[in-house]
Amino acid sequence: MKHIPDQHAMNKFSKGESFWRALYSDRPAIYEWDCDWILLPKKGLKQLHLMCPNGRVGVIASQSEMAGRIFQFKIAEMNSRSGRRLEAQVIGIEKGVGDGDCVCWSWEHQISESIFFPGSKPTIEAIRALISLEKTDPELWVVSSFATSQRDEAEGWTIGIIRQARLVGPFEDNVKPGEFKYGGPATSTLAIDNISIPVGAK
Amino acid sequence: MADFTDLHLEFNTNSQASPTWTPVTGAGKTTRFLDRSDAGLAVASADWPRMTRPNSVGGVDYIYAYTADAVGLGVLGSGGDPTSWDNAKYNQARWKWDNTGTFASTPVFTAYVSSAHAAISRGTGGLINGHTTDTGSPARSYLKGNAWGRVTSAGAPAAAPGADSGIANGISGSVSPSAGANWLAAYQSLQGDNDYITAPFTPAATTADSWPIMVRLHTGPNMNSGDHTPVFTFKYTFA
Repeated sequence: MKHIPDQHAMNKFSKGESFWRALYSDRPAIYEWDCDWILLPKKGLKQLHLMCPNGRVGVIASQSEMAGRIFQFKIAEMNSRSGRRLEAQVIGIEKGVGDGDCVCWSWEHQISESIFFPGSKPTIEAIRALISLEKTDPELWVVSSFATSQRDEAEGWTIGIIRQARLVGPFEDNVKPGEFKYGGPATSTLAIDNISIPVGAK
Repeated sequence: MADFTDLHLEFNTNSQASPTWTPVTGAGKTTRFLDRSDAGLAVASADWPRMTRPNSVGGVDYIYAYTADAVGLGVLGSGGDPTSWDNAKYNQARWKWDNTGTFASTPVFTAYVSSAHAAISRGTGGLINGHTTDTGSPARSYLKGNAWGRVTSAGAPAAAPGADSGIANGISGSVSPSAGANWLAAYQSLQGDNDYITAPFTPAATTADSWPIMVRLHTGPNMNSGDHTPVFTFKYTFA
């Protein structure tokens, strides 16, 4: 059994990110950092895993050939104030051929509202306390909190954005010919529901 | 299919004929709107001047591109103060990316109330939320956007959008310009996941390029008073 290479995994997990792992019947596992997704050998693939920082794993498995049916992608955003960040990583597989029905797992970030502190700038201890208070769901994984602050018009402070994430799935969606319309499950934290994925993500 | 090393929003701080693109994305960088061109180019964000809420709907005509808290340039200002909004000056803004990443789908351009990207309730009077009396029903964002139907390398805009931005412009959900040398026929409300613009193309892999856009801010007597600090957002996927 091959262990997960600690350094790569820790690099991902320390940023609150998930990664994929491909398991084969006839060759060693391939990890996200080993090769580009579009170059991943799909022949002989038995399972595709979504490895998450909270220790959970989303598993896509099939008794029949997975080549041409599995897909993986990440959803990101560039924000004019806080910069670039990852929103989700999705793995999935078409259940049949032609009808587009599929099963997915996703590691989804959710971002809490900014917190306003009237008066003086709060201490780091106060911010930490709020982060722990925000974590009310045991499935939620605290990804990060930004310690940046800005002074409000009313002489208060807006501090931090608490980012949390969770593994969601398995859930069903539908792959239209040539594209993937990400609807997500009812428990999805993703705000966007119109991501279109061309066949190139498969 | 890797992510991008550099992907940002930039405004033209020179002229329509000879653009100079100034990045305004990231920590300390801001795009500021005002109804005056003489606010200054060295104003700390905490001291940014207020504008009086108008008695009737109108535009907020001047945009400032601040690259640091007190270091700014006027959009389309030839290195100085900004010039007034003019729909004919279509070399106004663009999303730009480097050659390190590969898009897996068509990108999306929108705006949110804050970088928390919370779901947006229509009609509460915020800059992005809109108000039915000012911005129509259902309430659209006071902030509008337009977008070009192809990446710059395939052909930059050579003409302005056919219609100027209107305060009630907007369609629920996604709109896309027709692929090719086309702007949106009408400006779109930029309201998070309620109203947004989807590119009609998936940009080429590992190729530096940009997507021309235009932004226009309106205001009205029913806009909430206070500071409004929305964010422009570019959503994309990669594998």
